[in-house]
Amino acid sequence: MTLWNKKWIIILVAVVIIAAGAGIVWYFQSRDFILPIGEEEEISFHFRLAGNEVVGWSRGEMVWRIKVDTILDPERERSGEMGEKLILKDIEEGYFYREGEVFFTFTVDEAHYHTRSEDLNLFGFRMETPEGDWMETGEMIYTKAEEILRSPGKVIGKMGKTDIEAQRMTVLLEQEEIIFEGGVEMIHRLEGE
Amino acid sequence: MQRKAICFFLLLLLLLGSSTGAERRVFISAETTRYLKDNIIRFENGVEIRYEDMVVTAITGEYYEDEEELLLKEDVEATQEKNRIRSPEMWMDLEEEHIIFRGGRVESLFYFQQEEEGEEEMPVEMWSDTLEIWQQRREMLAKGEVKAYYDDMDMEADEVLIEEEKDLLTATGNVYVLRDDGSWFRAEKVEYNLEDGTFVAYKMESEFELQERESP
Repeated sequence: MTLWNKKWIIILVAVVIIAAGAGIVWYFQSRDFILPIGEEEEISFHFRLAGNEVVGWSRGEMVWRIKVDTILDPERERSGEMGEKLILKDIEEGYFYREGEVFFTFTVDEAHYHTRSEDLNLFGFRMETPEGDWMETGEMIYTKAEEILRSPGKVIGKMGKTDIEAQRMTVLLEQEEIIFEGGVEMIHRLEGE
Repeated sequence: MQRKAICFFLLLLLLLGSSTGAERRVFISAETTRYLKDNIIRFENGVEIRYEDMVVTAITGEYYEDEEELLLKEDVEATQEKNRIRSPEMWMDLEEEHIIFRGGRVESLFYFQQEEEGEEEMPVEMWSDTLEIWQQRREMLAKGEVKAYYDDMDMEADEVLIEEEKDLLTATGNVYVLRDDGSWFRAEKVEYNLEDGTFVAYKMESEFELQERESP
């Protein structure tokens, strides 16, 4: 084999390798990255990770959705009956839904998802409604079995023309009812005509 | 001098939103507050509403945001300084600027500021089945077995209407006035001028004890 032939073979091999690499990259980039979590039969309706969104479902309806950049490996430690804990960080925004419509949007510093109970702990929680109402609290807990959001600590916010401060808050998602408890203080603004 | 008591009613109505331009703040405290569907806010286990120096308390309450109506229930008490109204229920229409105390006997206590400084304030106690206040018309109407005690005078009537614009108190229906000296009169209607203290009684019936004058 001449030196000339060897050179052409090397160039050909290099071209094939580059083309194969480019093909692999293109193949994976063109698809959503799906990370199945939980039992196989639950994947389609309980929890899925698609692209950079984590979505929670209940009875065939989307309940919550979180846009997240970082998902830490599920910790192997067990947290009681709630199962493994998945830690979501660098969260851009989240949404709670009612009957297919955005009930409210929220931002959080960090979220913990419990794979068995499918509950969420939302830390550094701030919610906002499309009408401009907002609410802030240190921790908000979503309990799927009861369809409730509960803040065990102090909550502050604004609803309509009213500023609110309470020691606890519960959102009954099914009933679309918000309960403030523990020395609720409100300042209602009356505007002159 | 009766103006201060009337102003107390009007202060209540400030809760409803008056026509002054500046933003005003109403402070509401409750043990539990529920934001329900259909824009209803429910207060439970004790509610207190404060506006300037006026305080209204009740055990429960509901605010109907769409209708702009507030309903307070159980042991309702509205106070401003020493003035006080107690009733089982209070209803407010914020848009119409209309309040009704109702649901049982309404007990009112007002202190009329005296003209002369240092004079003792004179309380008026009043009981009625309902007490209605209209901000825009500047009127107050007590209905149903109205009883009022003021100074040396007890008064009973079916209705008592106070019209601030006219400085007029009108008692109608089975009006009975009894004074401490035992004199009394009945009338179908009595109009009492709040400005000068004079009154006109219609279809009046009375008894007077005539004292014999000693001959000079």
